[in-house]
Amino acid sequence: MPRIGVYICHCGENIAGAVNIEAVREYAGTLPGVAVAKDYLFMCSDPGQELIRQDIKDGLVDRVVVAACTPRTHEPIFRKAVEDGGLNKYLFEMANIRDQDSWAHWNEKDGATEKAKRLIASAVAKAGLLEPLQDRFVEVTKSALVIGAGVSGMFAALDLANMGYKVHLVEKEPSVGGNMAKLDKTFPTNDCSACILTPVMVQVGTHPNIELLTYAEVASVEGSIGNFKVDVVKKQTYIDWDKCTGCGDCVNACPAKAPNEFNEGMDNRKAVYIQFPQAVPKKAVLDLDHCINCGKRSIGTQPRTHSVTGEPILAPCEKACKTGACDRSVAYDPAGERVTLQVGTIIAAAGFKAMDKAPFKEYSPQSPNVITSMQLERILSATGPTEGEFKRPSDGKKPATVAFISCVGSRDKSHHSYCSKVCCMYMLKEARLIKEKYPATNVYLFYIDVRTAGKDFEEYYNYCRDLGIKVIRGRAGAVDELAGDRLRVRAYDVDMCAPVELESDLVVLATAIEPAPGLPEMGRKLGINCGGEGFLKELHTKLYPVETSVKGIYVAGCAQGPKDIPESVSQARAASSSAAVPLTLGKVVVEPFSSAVDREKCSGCGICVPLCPYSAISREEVDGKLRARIDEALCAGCGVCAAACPSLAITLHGFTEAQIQAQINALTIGAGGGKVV
Amino acid sequence: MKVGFFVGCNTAFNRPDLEQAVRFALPALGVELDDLEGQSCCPTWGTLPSIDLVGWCALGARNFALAEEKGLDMVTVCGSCYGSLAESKHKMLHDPELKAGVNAMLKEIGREFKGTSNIRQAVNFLYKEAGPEKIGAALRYRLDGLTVAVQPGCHSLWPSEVYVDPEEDSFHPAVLREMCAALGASAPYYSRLTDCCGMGGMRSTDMERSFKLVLTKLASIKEEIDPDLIVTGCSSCLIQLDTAQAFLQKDRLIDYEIPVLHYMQLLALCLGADPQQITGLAKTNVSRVVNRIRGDENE
Repeated sequence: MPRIGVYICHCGENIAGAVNIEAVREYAGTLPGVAVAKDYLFMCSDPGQELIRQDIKDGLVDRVVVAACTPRTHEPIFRKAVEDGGLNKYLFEMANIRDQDSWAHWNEKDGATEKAKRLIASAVAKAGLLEPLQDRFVEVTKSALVIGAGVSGMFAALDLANMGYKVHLVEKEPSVGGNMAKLDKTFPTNDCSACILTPVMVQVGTHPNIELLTYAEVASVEGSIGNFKVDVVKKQTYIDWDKCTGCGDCVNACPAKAPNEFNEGMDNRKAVYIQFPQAVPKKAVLDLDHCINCGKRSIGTQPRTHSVTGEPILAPCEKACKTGACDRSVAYDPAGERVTLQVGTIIAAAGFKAMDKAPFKEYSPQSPNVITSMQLERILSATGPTEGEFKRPSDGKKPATVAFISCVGSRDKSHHSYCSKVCCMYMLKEARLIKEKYPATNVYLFYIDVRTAGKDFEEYYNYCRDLGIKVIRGRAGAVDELAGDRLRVRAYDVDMCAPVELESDLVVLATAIEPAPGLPEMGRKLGINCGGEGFLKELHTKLYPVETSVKGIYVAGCAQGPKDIPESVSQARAASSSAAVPLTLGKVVVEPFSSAVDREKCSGCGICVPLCPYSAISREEVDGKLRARIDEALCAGCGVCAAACPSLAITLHGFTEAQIQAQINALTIGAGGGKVV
Repeated sequence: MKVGFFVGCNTAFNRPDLEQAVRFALPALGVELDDLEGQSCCPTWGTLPSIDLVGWCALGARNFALAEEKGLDMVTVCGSCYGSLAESKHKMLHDPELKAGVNAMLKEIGREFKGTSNIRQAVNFLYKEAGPEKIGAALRYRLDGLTVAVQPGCHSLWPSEVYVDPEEDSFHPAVLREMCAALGASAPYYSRLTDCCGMGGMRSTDMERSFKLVLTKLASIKEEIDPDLIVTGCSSCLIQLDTAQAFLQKDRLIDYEIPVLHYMQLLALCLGADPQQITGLAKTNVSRVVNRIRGDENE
């Protein structure tokens, strides 16, 4: 008969405020196998842990249940206490009566108390059947994968590379740089984005420890911390990058046009293009969707011969190419190339997308003079469609009046409930750049709240106001088109308590930061949860801000939520230090929750083999019969095989059939019969 | 096709000429009207909807029940009726508790709200069910050469999720413009097209503000497109735009008058209805534009 000790935590008022601790403790003492039932104000404090250690040392208990908060943060602490007391640390079970009970049912105290009883009964039932388990260690592959080569991904990759680890840096665009490469200047110091970013891009491109995989996307991720197997698809460029020098001759020769994504669709690029002037790697990409196959030179066909000269008829791009990188005779595979990477840890830094103007019908998105802030960044940038000249799209005239509208898509229940955090500052920055360069321009900002928390930010705001930028507190409700390509902004001025109208030559919408397209799908591939708004979720907001629910996978930058450049870089560097820990240790502890096959019961049917997401199961012949075999090093303990086995031949240690059945019984039929919330 | 005609108080008591227009135009296009004997107030904004959610919905539900019993949709020319009925139905369908409360009240009079009938706004209804082409082909008189300013009416635009025939983009309404074009008129954009006419609660509580809104609207119409006629999709907008101009002239705030008709009046006119029957109560002088549309036939 096991001697189970039950320790109930008040968690200050967090649990005791909703759960009648004394009633629960009394009830726990009556459960079968329970030798000791105690409660304490903070079980995780040293005196709290000492209760457990002492009872074990005194021989009172040989199994431990702590009813407290979440195992996510506290299980390791209590396991350590159990081990220090002299027991195997897996002879421990936790009942979460805070997150799943007192917090959730704060206003239903009786029900919360009943639920606490059942959760504890369930944990006790399992505890009685616990078996001692031993930790395993696996060797770590000393390399890392960073997904996304914006400013976050590049810094994460550089830090790891500088520590001496091999880093694979995957970027879906042809060049590294991300959204930051599109910006003109950056707050709060107004340094030119390209000036501070280009050296970083060059470092990333030339670092001996960084393998750049641009124009590539992660296809699948298998394995677990220490040993991830990642399939990456390098999209087809239709240009031989080994030969391409980035001279741009093919680009100049190409007659086909396509909307220029880098300039936010405000001008055209060629079908064969180099993403932007500072691109790293500076290589051309052929966009087959917009290629017009000059001279009937579709990819993978032999050139026709000129009837008079007998020369092969080539397309302008290949004719212009001096190195043979552009050769349309090559039968390129449209699917691109699949490469498999072995890495120990992964950092997801997949960035963000600034919202488009189309969903904001109230702001006349059909007008070319209503633009997004990202479009204005490109207009202000020397590499943009106007080469840095402040011109409005409809007729190229310099606007005399500009109106900015804040919180477009942010803090708006029709779009995103969150604050995008950077808009107030980038709006002020753009307004300031315009006002400083063209002081005669009337610049207005319509806002709900100006949020300029951050080092040197409030000073920046005050400076902008002193420059004469007019800041109007009130949400803009409409933008109407007027004659002469002008626009009328209508808002409610909260300070004047009156509707106000402003005629303007250009309207800039400070659109929200939202998850990059495909981010939730990437999250699924990585096994990381996305929050309600679609950003990748960190393990713990405060304590584990770069870790995720998957060990060995970390997040950085705007993929985790809106943030500015200083914050993105800080988080990236934090993520790289965290991701380096397993690489430095060289081995990681794997919890012993792996599956094992009982060969006596196994019928060799093989149902489990294809189900295993980690390819850990194979079949081998034992005494002339096929039997399943589980590779413990690969098994991640997901339990799919155990659930599927028709012969009940597979046991998932730590979650055995008997243990789970006992938990369910205790939850459903064992408890006192009071109404549970 | 048969529909219940939800007349609405404003139309029945203030503009029976508009009611006559509906009774002429819809049957002329093959839509049979049922009088929904016993219909009551919708009830309109500023009355029960402001003070009693269940009471509002119950009154609306009773009107719906009349149509449901006959298996008909309801058609109205009034934005307030349209908005109030559509919103109350939406609320009842999305709040089972509210619906149950309403049905408990209706049980006392032996009725039940199921949610099977729709309330539809006449212009959007015709746009969907007849279509501009069929309407264009049925006309006796056309509006070629005429410029009109359209006023769809707020309650036919927002909240768009409660309507069965919503605009594709409520911020840039197209239905009324297309329906005027079907009659041959040019119905250009003007920048205050979606502005409120100032009717509704405001006209009865704050005349000055109400007239400020209508003045802003009229100025935009006059300056930007200088039309021959204003065409509304809503009986309240009709009343406001038609009656306010005399006050504004008296206060020397405008020195012009633009005749105002509801779309159903204009449609009936083009289909050959007697102008006196269907426009007789207009305060603005519509006879000139009416004569122009009909040629010299009735002069």
